[in-house]
Formats: sequence, C-alpha cells, structure tokens
Amino acid sequence: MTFSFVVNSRSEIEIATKVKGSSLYFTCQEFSRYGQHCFQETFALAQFAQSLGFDCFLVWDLILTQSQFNQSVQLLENFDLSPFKGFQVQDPGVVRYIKHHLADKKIILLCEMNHKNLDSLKTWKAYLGEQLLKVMVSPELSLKSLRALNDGTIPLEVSILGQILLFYTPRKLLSALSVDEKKQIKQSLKAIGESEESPHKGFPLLENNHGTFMFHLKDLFLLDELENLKDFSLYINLSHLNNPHLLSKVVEFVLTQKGQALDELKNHYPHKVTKGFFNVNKTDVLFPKLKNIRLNRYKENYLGEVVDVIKGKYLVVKVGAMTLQKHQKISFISPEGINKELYLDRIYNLDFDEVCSISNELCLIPYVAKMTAKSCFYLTS
Amino acid sequence: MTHMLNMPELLCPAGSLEKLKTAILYGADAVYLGGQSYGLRQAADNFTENELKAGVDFCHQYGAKAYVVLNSFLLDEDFAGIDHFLTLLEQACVDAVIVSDLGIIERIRRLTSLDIHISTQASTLNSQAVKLYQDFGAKRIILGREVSLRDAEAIKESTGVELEMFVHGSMCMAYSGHCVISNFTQGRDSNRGGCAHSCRFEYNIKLSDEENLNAFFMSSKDLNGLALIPQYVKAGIDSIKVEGRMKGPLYCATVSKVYREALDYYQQHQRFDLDSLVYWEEELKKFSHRDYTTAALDNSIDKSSIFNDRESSLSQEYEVAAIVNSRCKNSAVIEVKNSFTDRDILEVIPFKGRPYDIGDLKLCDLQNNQLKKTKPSTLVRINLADELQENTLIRLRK
Repeated sequence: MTFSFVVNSRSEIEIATKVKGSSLYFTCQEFSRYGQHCFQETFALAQFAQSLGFDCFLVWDLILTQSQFNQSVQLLENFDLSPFKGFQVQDPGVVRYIKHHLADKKIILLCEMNHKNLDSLKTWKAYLGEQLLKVMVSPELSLKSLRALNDGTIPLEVSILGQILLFYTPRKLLSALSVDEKKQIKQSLKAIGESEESPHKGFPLLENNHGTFMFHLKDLFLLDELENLKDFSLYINLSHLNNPHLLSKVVEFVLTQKGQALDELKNHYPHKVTKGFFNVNKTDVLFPKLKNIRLNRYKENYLGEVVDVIKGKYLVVKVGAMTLQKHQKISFISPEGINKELYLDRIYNLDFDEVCSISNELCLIPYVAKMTAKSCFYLTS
Repeated sequence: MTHMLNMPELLCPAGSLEKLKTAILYGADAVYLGGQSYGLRQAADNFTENELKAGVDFCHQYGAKAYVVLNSFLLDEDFAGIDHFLTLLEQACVDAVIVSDLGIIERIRRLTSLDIHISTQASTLNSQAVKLYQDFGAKRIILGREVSLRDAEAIKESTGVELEMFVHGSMCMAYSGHCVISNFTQGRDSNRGGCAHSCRFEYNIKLSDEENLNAFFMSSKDLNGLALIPQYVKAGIDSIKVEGRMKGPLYCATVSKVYREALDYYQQHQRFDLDSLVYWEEELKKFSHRDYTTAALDNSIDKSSIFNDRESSLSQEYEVAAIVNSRCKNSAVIEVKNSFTDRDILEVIPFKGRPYDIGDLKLCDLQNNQLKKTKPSTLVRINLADELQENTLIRLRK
C-alpha cells in the first residue's frame, strides 16, 4: 500500500513526510482543473518537496482544444519541469505529447470516467510501456471490479478521500447567472446547486478559467477500507477543504490505522461522506426498465408486431425479416403482458387477397382478443 | 468553369429500421445505428440482428453507408457476447464501427477488419489526440463538440485523417463522456447508455447569501450549423453528423432533407442564397427543438449557448401525421402517428422538392369505410396514391 497526496502548501508537504514512500501531486492554475497557485508558486513547492525526497507529479488534467493545447505546450516549454518526475494526465493528446516530447517524464493516466476494463488498460500499457507509471481508476468501480483489474499489468491508483467529480464542462455556467459584474471577472466562483427533480440536494459547483465543475454532495471516504485496498496506490485529495489540520488527522490514521483515530476523523470531517460504488455498482440494472421488457424483439423466433386492430375481424401486423406462413402456430404478448396463441389458417395482404406467406410487409391475420397495437408475436412451431 | 467541391458526407441518426429508411430516402449519405448493447442509447428501439442486416442492405442498395455504434465505456463483464456481435457486424458488411473504449478497439482490430471511427465520447479535441487514435488504427475521428471549425481545419491540416463533426442536434453540456451525474444520483450509467438527462433539470443555485436563483443552468441549446456549411467544407471536414437516434421520424426526415438540399446547393453554387437559407432555417424550426446555437463552431461558446428553459416549453410547430406504409390499388395505406381529420390540411414532405399541401382528403379504414377522423396507431387508406412513395412523411400544422 502506497499513498499519494495532493498538496498545496509547505505545511501539507511536511505532514506528508510522515508517510514514507508517498508521492505528491501538485496542481497549478495553468495546467490543472482546480489549481490554486500559479506555476511559479507550484514549482517552488515541488522543489521543496523534492528536496525532502518525494516523487513529485504535476497535474495536467485539462481536456484541451487545439488552441488551448498549443497555448499549454507553449507555456510548458518555458517552465522548468525538473522537480517533477511526471504528470497526471487524461487528455489523449496530452498523453501522446508527453510520450513523444517528454519521454523522460512518467505518466499517471487519469481514467476517472472511462477505460474501466482490463483490455483497455492493457492497451494503454502496450502503447506507453514503462513510461506509464500507474493508472488512476474511476471511482465508479466496485472493489470486485478493482480486484479484477489489478492483475499486475499496471499499478492502479484508487481515490479514497476527496471530492467526486460529476460533471466537467468548458462553459462558464455560474458567471452566466450572476448579475454581480465583479463576480463575473473573479478567477473562480463557487455555488451550491440542488434540483427538485433529483433526490440529492446540495451539489458543490465550481467555475474557474477552465470551465465549470459539479461535485457529489458527499465526499468519497474509503479510509475504513484500507485492508481491502492494500494492493493499490491510494490517493488522497483534500484540496477543496484547505485544512492542513485535517490532513494531519488523516495521516495520523493512515500511520496507526486505529479505529479510534478513524472515528475521530469521521466526527471532524466537515462534509457528509459516501463510499460511492465501492461495495457494488448496479448502474446498469435499470436499463431493461427503460423499455417495456415484455416486448422483446431480440428473440430468435420474433416474427413481428401488431400495428392496428380491426376489432372482431383482423389484426394488422407488420412482419419482420422472418417469414410468416399459413399453418404456423404463433404466440402473442401484449404491452400489458397478456399472452395468447393462434393457429394461423389465413393471411391477407392489404387488398384482402389471401396469401400463403409474407415477410417485411404489412398483412392481416385473424383477430385475437386483447391484442393491441405494439403487441409482439413469435413463432412457436 | 466552376470546379466541384469535395463535400462532406451527410451522416444521420437511425434509431430504428423505420428511421434508417427515412434518413436514407430523405438524403443521408450514411446513417449510424445501434445494436441491442454496447451503445449509448439503451432506451432507443435499436436494431435486432435481422433488422441490422436489413438496414445495412437497405443503405447499400441506395449507395449509402451504415456505421454501428459501440461507444460505451465497458466494464469487464460487459464484454460478454461482443465477439459474436463483431462477427455479425463484419458478416453484415457494416461500413465502420464507432468506438471510444480502447479495449473494444483492440478487440475489433484483433478479430475483424472493420473500419474504426473514434466516437465523440472519447473527447478528441486536438491533433495529438487525433494522432494517438491513428496510432490505434482509427480511420476516422469524430471530434468533440467543443472544437471550433478553425481548430478543426488546423487538425485536418496537421493529421490528414478523416474528420467528422456534429452539425445539428442536442448537445451535452459537459465534455462528452465526462458527466456521471446520472450514475451517482439516478443509478443509471450515462457512459453505458443510461443517461437520465440530469443536465436538463431546473436547479436552485445559491451563489451567495444574497444571490439565490432558479435556473436550467446546465441545459445546452441545440446545435445548428447549417449556415456554417461553407466553413465545414473549407476546413476539409469529411462527414457532418446529425445527433438524434432518440428523435422522431419528423426530425429525421426534415433534418436529412434540409442538410441534403443545403449541401447539394452549396456544391453546385459554392455559396448560399439568402432565400434558400431562410427557407431551410424555417424548416429546421418545424419540429420540436430547443433554441439553436452554433456553440463552439464559430468560437462563440458563451452564456448565449445555455438554453435555460423547461423541456416542456419546447415549441412544436408541426407534428408527423402519418407515414406512407404501402401503395395499393389507387390508394396509399398510411400509418397514422397523430390524429387528424378529413378537414385538416396536411403537408406531404417529398423526398425531393418542397413540401406541398394536400386538402380534400378522402380517408377510409382498411375495409374502405369512410373516416372523418383518424386515430394514432391505425392504418388508413387515402387518395392521392400516385404522388406518394412508400416511407414518405406527411405532417400536420398544430
């Protein structure tokens, strides 16, 4: 188990020295989504951390259009990057730029919302080779998924304490609302948002030069899962709280892993906390309910659907690619779930001429009570 | 002598086999569609295996192309069945697959010779990102909606790769693939096709103790790049894409037809005339839509791109009345989508040429009993059979 901390001050760096072998992430306004300092200030902090023996990484986690990319690279070329062992990045263009232009720097790939399978991670590894130091995986992954991904191919980093980003846009959404001219020219704006249409209330919002960010109302808190996470690099980011004392408490717990320290930390933690999807991720179980699951067109024996009903006389049906033939036995299911069967002794085209078989067309078949438009029918014999 | 311009392909959405036919018949050069899994529209009808084969055949019959989306970001367990599906796609002769997950890309390259288009979901916004996906074997890159046409031109010049850009339709406010609101608040994974559209909700925003207001602050206006077609052409964009696999047939027909006409006009005249442009823009207002924006295309993405209104407020000047289903003996059978009477004035939207009115309707049910009023989801016989081709849309002013 190793630790990584996002740090913004000398005091935080000093606190982190207590955790042997930890790495430090540095953000700056020019390259990082939530950077608080300018690059020169960040550089000074990184130099200080380097002198204490830390591996230091610059967070370059912006997604960049061509113009922004050109500006970023131009800036970067003028900066001394010597304190940094590498970068935490997510834009594929930035990844490629570092691979080809900064080959001596390591890459920590940020996959907070994507690349959640082993094949994908292996492909990144094959592309970047030894330059890929580790992959910071999505907080959407459950422990089961994390374990499946952690097959030794690539070291994985897991966020265990900090904000959960829900939404990242380049558009300035808060200043657009503010009538206060002064606020509109500030470097950053913060707000709280809530919707009647969502069961959750109080999403933190941040706008800065790089766009607008929405976070989960609860912070991710997995400090009580360290035993399950000992094979991972663990990432702690309390930048949003600006509270070195709290970081100190976290470090104290990390070092002792005593329940009492954890309880104290939980009691003093200023935000509500969640384990997110750590125990289970069932965000696909609702998918079948987005459609009427009774009406399954994917069955191999699917013949077609009812499009109109001439009550007591005929069903007008749209036949699919499979051929509908006289003397077939077919079964129906209505949108409400009513099942019926029919032995097909007659088929008519729309001119009421009797036909023996039909496919990819409309036709009429004998009426079946309670079968309405949208009912599906299948071959049963 | 004027030389013929290289025009971009018109790529339209096909949420179902019916909509695929509509898009192609109204002028799309290509369509994109989804199978039962691996796409980002779990709520769409999508295509069964048989429908997919039929859809691809239909496209090829009209000289058009069919691309299949597999642009979810998958978990390991989601890969079940994907090899079978890829084999099916290759056997069905689909023209390309649209992908964002490197794991799927690797599998496609290993198992098939299918062309790979990189989905906008991958947020490819710069030339280095484009080159990275070229390194992974991509034939075409669908640029993110945050890219301006000026930047796109620079990317084209420096990479030479096939580029596709959105030209019309709904937009994510977030960078595509970088929004998980619905995962954490509704339990539906947006990056695996379950987006709950939380960005369209009204939010109460507390900016400070004094500033507290209600706003649809995350809801984007719809993209409309019609007037910028000359810039798409100048930038060397290979394909212009219309969003909307979940949209209805009226949207599908109108957008396909308008952009077809605009592209053809521009190719022929190398300019737009104002009257035509006004006419096309008016046509694009005749189906349900949010206010339009050019978003980042012309570098002007600012607060004017925020819709900031309720979804239920969307105006709809017209609705689809019916679709011509088949022709037989002096009449056509139409499938009624929205109710109308024999006194209504309907407008036929022909595959080519301007829409025209049909009055003096003679409506009968299939047994030739005269009707005064139609009901949705019924089949009706109408006169004027000679003029109406199968799959023609008929619209009704609301």
